[in-house]
Amino acid sequence: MNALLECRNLTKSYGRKPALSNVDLTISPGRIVGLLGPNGSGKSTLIKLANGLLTPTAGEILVCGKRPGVESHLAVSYLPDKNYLNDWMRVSDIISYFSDFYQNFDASRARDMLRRLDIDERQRLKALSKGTKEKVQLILVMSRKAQLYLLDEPIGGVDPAARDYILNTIITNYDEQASIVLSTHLIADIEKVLDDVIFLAEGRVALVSSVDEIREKNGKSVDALFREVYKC
Amino acid sequence: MLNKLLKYEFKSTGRTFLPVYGALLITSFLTRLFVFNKDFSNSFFLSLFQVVISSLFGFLLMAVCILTLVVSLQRFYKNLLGEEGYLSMTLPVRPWQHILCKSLTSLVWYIFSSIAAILAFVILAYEKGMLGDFFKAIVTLIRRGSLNAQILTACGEFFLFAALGILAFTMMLYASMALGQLNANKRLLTSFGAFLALNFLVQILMGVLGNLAVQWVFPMSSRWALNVALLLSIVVELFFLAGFFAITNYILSRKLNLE
Repeated sequence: MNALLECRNLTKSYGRKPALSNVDLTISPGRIVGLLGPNGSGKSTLIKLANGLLTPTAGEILVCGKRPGVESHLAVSYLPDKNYLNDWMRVSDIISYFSDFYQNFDASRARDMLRRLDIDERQRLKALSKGTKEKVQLILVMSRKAQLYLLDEPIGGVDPAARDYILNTIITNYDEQASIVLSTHLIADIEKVLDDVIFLAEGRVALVSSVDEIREKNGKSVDALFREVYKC
Repeated sequence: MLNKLLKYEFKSTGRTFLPVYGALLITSFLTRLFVFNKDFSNSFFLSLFQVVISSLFGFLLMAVCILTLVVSLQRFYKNLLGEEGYLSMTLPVRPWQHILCKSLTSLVWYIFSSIAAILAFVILAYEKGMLGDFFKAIVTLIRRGSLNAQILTACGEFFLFAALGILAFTMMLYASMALGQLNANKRLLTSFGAFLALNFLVQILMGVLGNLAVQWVFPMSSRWALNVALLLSIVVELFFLAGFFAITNYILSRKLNLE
């Protein structure tokens, strides 16, 4: 079984400050992985490296066995923790855009999810509230039939009810051969959908484990363990 | 993929250019109506309007000239290296397609801007029969032998030279921005520095080539000397264009560092 994401001695520094140091990771197909850690621990940096938006300072990162490039862009569906869509576009325009560039984009699935959340396609993005915009972005990303989903803070600005819907959408929509990496602070909410967790601290891997193992070995939830590990 | 990129690029940039072109042409028409050979010195408001319209016309004309350069820079930076880069640079599209898309779009808008400016003047100053006079003049020139094959070829070469010059300059700007984003902290400053450095390189190379040209081409007594000179200039521009393209492509492919 080929690893979907592989990091070998991955290091990324901005000037003298290392955002990631000697990270070794493997993510296999069919897993929902939580990438957890406090602010500045390197979660976003790792995800950006996997998308080819950053270049490693040392080591390497491979997506489906290759350096990030055109093939990996097709295989990866990425949700950035940023306002990356053109604000003047309408939701329908963005759906056309995704359909145009991604062969594996399922426009009807996207439209269906938007309808269920009462989001009007004809609205321009800049007219949407922050939470609604985030829902739109997530729906677009999850409507792609990708092999690896990289979601950077997918539920941050969203209300709890929508959070449940979104998490449900995530687990019911993904292909069992695919993997999802969720980077977030809101562990208590997503813990129930995770298979594995990776804890990052100051750019290094602090812990890699399955959720079951954590519960068995430590007798506590991932959220509780996180608070312990990262106590200020 | 390139077609799709071009489609969206024209859609995005058209929203800026077309209204400005429209405003320019309307103002040009209004200036012709109210300002040219019109004396409104007895009416305060109409004189004021004359001043306003003429100033607006001058401003829009200047705006159209600078607009293409500004938009060209802005689109490359914003769409590929800014927040939109998170979308653009994760599309299943090769960097060279992005670069080609942006530069071709720029070139097209440069051409359209020139046409808009020319149209503005035509609207301003057109008198009945001007077009007829223009064609008569051309026919006369052809009859006299002044517009022969050599001159026409030179004209063609000149347009190609101008177009490639714009493309090469645009590509130099792209290369500067690409080099600038290598430095995560001081992107703007580094871009500016890179631009100066590249400009310096170009000047040196042009100096060297200029010397060679003076030695080899200028002494050519053939009437085709102009054409040869233009042809050589085109080759030099292609060389610079390829060089800057290579730099930009390499950096976007292997050394990307989005904020």
